[in-house]
This record gives sequence, C-alpha cells and structure tokens, in this order.
Amino acid sequence: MAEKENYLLTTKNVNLFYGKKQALFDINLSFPKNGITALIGPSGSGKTTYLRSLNRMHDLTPGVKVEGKFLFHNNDIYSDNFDLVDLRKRIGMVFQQPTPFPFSVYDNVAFGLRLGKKISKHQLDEDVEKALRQAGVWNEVKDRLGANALGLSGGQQQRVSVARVLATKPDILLLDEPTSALDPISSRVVEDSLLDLKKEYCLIIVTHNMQQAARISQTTAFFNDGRLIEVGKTREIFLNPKEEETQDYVSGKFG
Amino acid sequence: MSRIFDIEMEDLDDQFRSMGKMVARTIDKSVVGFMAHDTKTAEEIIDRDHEINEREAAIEKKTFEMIALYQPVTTDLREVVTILKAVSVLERMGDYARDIAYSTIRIHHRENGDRRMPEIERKISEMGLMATRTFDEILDAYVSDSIDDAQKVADHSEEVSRLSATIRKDILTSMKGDVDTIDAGADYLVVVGYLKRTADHATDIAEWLVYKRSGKIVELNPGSSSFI
Repeated sequence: MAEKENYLLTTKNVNLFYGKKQALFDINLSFPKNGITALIGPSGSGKTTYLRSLNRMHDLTPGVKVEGKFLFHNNDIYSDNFDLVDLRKRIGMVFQQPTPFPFSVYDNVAFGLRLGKKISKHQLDEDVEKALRQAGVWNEVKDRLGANALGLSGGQQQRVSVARVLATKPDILLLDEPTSALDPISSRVVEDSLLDLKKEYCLIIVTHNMQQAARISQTTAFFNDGRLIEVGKTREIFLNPKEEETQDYVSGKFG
Repeated sequence: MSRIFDIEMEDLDDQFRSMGKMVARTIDKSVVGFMAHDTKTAEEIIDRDHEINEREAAIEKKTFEMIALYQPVTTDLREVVTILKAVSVLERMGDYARDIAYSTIRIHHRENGDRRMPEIERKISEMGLMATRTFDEILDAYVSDSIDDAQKVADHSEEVSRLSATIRKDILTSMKGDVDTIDAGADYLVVVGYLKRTADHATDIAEWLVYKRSGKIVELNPGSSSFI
C-alpha cells in the first residue's frame, strides 16, 4: 500500500507468540481513517489473534508475547504511557456473540459514557440516542429503552452492542465475526448498519463469510498460517488475486 | 432497505441505458448521413467508434465484479447476465453504424461513370428509419421490462427483414440492367445487410429481455441471423 495515503492505524512487523508457539509472523498492515477492511482466512490462520492484538486483548492472557509496532495517531498502543481504558474507548470491539449486559437498553449504551467524566442526564440522553441511531437500531428500541436488553432479538442485541461501543466515540471498531451467530435477515440488517458506519469510522472485521467480505469491505486481507498472504482492494482479491493461495481460498478449494 | 447489490445494479443499469442511447444516436446519424451523402458525419462516426467499445468494456468489467462480489442468484443473476449478453450486441450494432459510415464515404468517392440509384437510396432510407425505430423500441422495452414489448420488437424486426429482401431484389435488378450501377449497388447491398442485422440484433436483445423476466431462453425470430 502507498505510504502517502493517510492511515489511522499502522502495524509493522507484528509477531505474536502463545508461549513458544508463534501465531503471527511479521504482519504489516495499515488501516485508513474510514472504510471497511475485512480479514479473511481459514480457522487458525491468525486473523482473530491479529484483530485482538489491535486493542491489546491479549494483555491478560498469560504467556502471550506481542512484538512489533502498532502506531495509532503516531503513538504505539503498547507503550507504557498509553492508557488502556482510553485505548479501548478509541478502538472498540464487538464480539461474535452479542454481549448485552443484563440491564436496560439505555443503561447498556450509557455504560461506557458513565465510565468517563460526569455528564448531564440531558447529554447522556442525546449520546445514547445518537449511538443507537448510528447502529441502526433506534427505531426498533426507542419505545422500550427501559426494557432489559436480554429480551431483544439476536440481531437487535448485536446492534445494541455496536451502539455501546459507538457511544464512547471510538475511531476504530473491531468486529470479530459480528454476524456469525445471526440469521441471514438479521445479518443483513447488521451489515447495512456497518455500511452506514464506514463513512465515518474505520471498521476492521474478521469474517468467515467470504460473501460478506466481498459485499461490504473495500479492502481485504487474507491470512493463512499466521502470515498475511495478500492484501488489496476487495474487488482485486475476489477477481484477480495475485497469490495462488488466495485464489484457492476465495474460490473454496481449501479452508 | 435496499441492498448494496441493488444500488450497484442501478448504476449498471444506468450505464447500460446510457450506452444504448449512444448507440441509438450513432445508428441514427449513420442512416441520416448515408441519405444525405454526408461524409463529414460519416468520418465523425468512424472516429468515435472507440467510445462505444470503451463503454462496452467498462460495463463488462462491472458485471464481472458484481458476479464475483455479490454472487447473485435468481432474478439478480438474470439481470446481470442479460446486461452482459446485451452489451456485446450493442457494441456490434455500433460497429454496423460505423460500417455504414464507411459505405457512405466509399460511394461518395467513386470514380466518374459510376451511377447512384436515387430510388434505391430512398428505399434504403425508409428501411434505415424502420431499423432505428426498432432499436429505440428495444431500449424502451428494456426500461418497461415487458415481455409484450419485447415481442413487438421481434415482430417489427421481421418487417425490416422482409423489406430488406425486397430492396435486395430491386438492387440486383438495377445492377443487371445497368453495369454503371454495379459499384454503388455492391455498397447498397452491404448497407441493407447492416440495417437488417441491426434489426436482427434488436431481436437478440429482446430474447434476453424475455430471459430476464421469465428465466426462459427463447428464439423470437427463428432463422433471422444472416445478412441476406
């Protein structure tokens, strides 16, 4: 990728070890300010491990060693002076299973906001509504903000989870197979929300669903055996990949 | 909520229709230029043929992308395939317009002693108008997406075909009666052939429109695939 383009997050020579076993080998990958980058590859290829390294999710796993540069606004997120709570606000994560907390929709979204400095009820209302709108779920939940979020459908729960991350006004959203636990219709609704978000945010999505990667991402990175095999414009990856391994994987010959 | 595919499809549709209009204008000009012995228009058509070819290439590229990225099925797939097939036909029609332009220039630069045939030219003009009308109708049928409209195009194209047979006979009669008309006559025959093929191709597109609507591959005018 051309250096002159403006990247929000740049990782250089990322190596990651689970104890003695090396799981990532020299990954160099950069992410623009907005748009969707899809990370694809077979199980065990390292794509999720890499995604989780982008907001230091491995910190608490014993025996994990992370090497390399992770430049975010020109600061290394692994440097000692980087505040972890602040990092996770600015680089939020959405998981495969929706993760609503067992309280109201409103409190779910307000959760991250209340962690920070004190804000007025009025401001809180505004921020919650904005986040739910951005996540594309406002119209469905606006009349039951006080209801327990566990009572929502899977697709709604996932979009509320997205809203909770958005409420803290992140720059980057990491999504770990965000629709694999949902039915096709709910998946599509979540995809549509992501497509709206890509205009303003940098989204990085791990997906096993290649059609999903093809449908919604602008850039696709293909991982295999802990290595970044190929990265490029999504249309190139799906029409004319340079590497034979990529070709075989996207056409379903392995993985 | 519209899918990404729908948005992309709309764009593809726009590109296809815009190319259709471009080809329609070109055919129209080639026929008018032929009637008016207007070599300047003919040269312009020849110079600009590459624009049509470029449009075709861009549309083809987009259809490949849509198939690879969205893996469409059922009606979505048929829409994409219809455009992929019809766009080559449009390009071919553009070539015929260019070939008519070549004939216009050739007839104009003939040596002395050669004679034109005003009566034949009048009939060819009439046929040209019919062929361009058929072409306009196929673009309308594409927009209306109606099998009835597609069938009408096929019927009109058959009329063009019948007219071409009559004119051909007239040309041959003239050529036999007056050897000075042989050179021009040869070009007239070619132009009549191109116009007939233009109308035939409108039927080809009509067949793809039927496929798009019904999923059935049909032959609307069996046997209509030659220059004569």
